[in-house]
Amino acid sequence: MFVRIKNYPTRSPWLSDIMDFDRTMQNVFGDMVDSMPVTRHGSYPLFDLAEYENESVLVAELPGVQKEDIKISIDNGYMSISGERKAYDMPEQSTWVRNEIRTGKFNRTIELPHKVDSNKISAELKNGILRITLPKAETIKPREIRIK
Amino acid sequence: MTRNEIMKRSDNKPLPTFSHYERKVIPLTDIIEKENGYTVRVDMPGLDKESIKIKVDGDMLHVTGSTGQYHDNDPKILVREIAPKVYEREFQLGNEIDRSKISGEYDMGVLTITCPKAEEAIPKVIDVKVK
Repeated sequence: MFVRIKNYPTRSPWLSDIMDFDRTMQNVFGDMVDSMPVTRHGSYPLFDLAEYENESVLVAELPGVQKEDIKISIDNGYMSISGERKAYDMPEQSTWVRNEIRTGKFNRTIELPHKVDSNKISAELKNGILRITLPKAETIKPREIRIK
Repeated sequence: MTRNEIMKRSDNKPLPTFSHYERKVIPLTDIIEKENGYTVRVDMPGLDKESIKIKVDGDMLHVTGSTGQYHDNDPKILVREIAPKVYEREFQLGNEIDRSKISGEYDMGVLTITCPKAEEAIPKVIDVKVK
């Protein structure tokens, strides 16, 4: 089987610097450069963080990872997502034609955008997407104060 | 004044941003050749099984799937690394593959396509009796 190769991301020492630059550009120009392709690089997994009124939701891509192999921990305003994507068994008398999927351990630490009610955090893994709901701590929720 | 406020329209509806457009992504792929066929593993997280299309067109195997939006109700995006996307990749099939027996399975965000070789393409070991 011959595989058509289109432009493909490679990993090199300076690539992560470019990706950092890409992220800086994204911070400066926001959605203007959002359509730039963000490929696999040093930071894994890739994620989105969205803020709602009462909670934030983190959505991360973790294809091929079992629920049991993911660990989420929160410490002092930082959350880390770590785990392992297990390598696939190679059947006997088989050979690689193409191997792009990386397996092995990963670890990423994220600064939380606000104080979190750590007892109410929930996480769900579905179709390779990890969704973590981070409810805001009561003390920082917007509140209306009535005047007596 | 934040960027979002600057970019408001006169009727107060939010402007369409680039993030509303799906972008095309070439998914990472593993291909393994076994004695009786090929296993193709494609990383496509975030799809519904129904949105995946595998098409065999002559010598080409065409795989596509669309994630849809990751967030509801237009929240404030603090970090954006995984905008909605359309996965798309093509593979050229060898003559030895039995087109009618190609099958796919989606699990944990990984699409596994099994491409069995035709019976006559699998090397057979025959014991020849010696009289």
